[in-house]
Amino acid sequence: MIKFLILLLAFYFLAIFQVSFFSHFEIGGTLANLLLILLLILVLFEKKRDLALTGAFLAGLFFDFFSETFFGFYLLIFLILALFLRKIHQFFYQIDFLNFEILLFLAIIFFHFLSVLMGVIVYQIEFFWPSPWLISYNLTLGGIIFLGSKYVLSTLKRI
Amino acid sequence: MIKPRLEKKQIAFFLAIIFLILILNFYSSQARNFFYFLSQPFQKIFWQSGSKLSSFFDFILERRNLKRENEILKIQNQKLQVLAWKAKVLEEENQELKKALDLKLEKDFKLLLVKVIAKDPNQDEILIDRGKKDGIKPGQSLILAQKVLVGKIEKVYPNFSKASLISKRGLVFDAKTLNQEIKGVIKGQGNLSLIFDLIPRDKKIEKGEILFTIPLSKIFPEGLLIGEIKKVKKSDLEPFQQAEVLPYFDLDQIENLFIITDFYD
Repeated sequence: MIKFLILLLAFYFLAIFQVSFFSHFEIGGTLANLLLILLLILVLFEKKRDLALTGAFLAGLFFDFFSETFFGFYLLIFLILALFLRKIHQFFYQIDFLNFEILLFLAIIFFHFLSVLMGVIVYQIEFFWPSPWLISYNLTLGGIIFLGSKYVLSTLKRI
Repeated sequence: MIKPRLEKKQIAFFLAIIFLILILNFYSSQARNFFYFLSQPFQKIFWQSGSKLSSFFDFILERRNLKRENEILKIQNQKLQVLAWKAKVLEEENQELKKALDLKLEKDFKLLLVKVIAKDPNQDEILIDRGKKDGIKPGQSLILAQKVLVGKIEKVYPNFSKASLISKRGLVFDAKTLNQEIKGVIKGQGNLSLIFDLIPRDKKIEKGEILFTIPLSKIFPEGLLIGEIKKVKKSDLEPFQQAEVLPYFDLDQIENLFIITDFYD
């Protein structure tokens, strides 16, 4: 229950931080997807499947609140993404920086195609490819967050 | 013995999620309004801090270019002074004509000041802090104090509204250039970018040309500033010319906006 509450607060504030603070730091017109990065870190570091899926549920729910899509649109995307990431990360022997970047790249591509394809089906939007800016921005920020969280975790373990 | 219980628990959990989603969709307007209402204080703080920090970084990054920009601004200022003088002359002529024809055309935009509190992470939409209770309706235009067009209201909640930026993918409206009056269509490309499309091939369009709205498609009022031509794309295979447009609004710096409330009334 405590873990759930921590996750709830973390994803809630991260969602607000993303839409209100990080909106000012667009690069090439694209924004960082902090919820996606956090979800990937959660999937990689948390062994329990339920907690990762709860994280995906919360990320999707908050994303839905800030989007104009129907409720469940991003929730479904994040849940599928979490299951996909859990499956695929088993093929990686260890999670170092390079493997994290590969997984994040796959997550960005997977998230983009899922959301665009669902948009094409449900809202008849035109298909479009992910911008190189979007990929490089998220990979850079994700890499920094990954290294930061690894450092914090190792410091906490030492203490 | 334990396994079936867990399965039942999981089924109950998924049913609860489906029920929650159905409820949220059924009361989506109220749910979103309540959520924005709860988050508004944090969002305002985050938006303002983000704006300040972004301005600070911009200042550091742009410092080197300040001298060069200053020179350009001086030249632009001179051009604007000429334009202002021309506008003054035209306004005087217009006033005289109005008097002469006795027409009651003097009706400025009725504006409502609003604040931006969030941007949709996945598309060019913003959330503003006023809604139905303040008289906002879908379709109304959003502008800056300098009459720069920013977007239009899409969805209205009791206390908040969602607006599409003009760069939103799929948004199309008519526009023309200031000097040569070349007509075309502005198309939102997403990621805060715009193109000026369907420009006749025989027209010579230049970098830096200013674009204004025209009331052909009745989406936006006439005479609002959109941006300037950044790059012209001309191909022998295409029947029309296309140009990249640099929008005049900068989302990083936007905090206050105006809604034209009487355009569709």
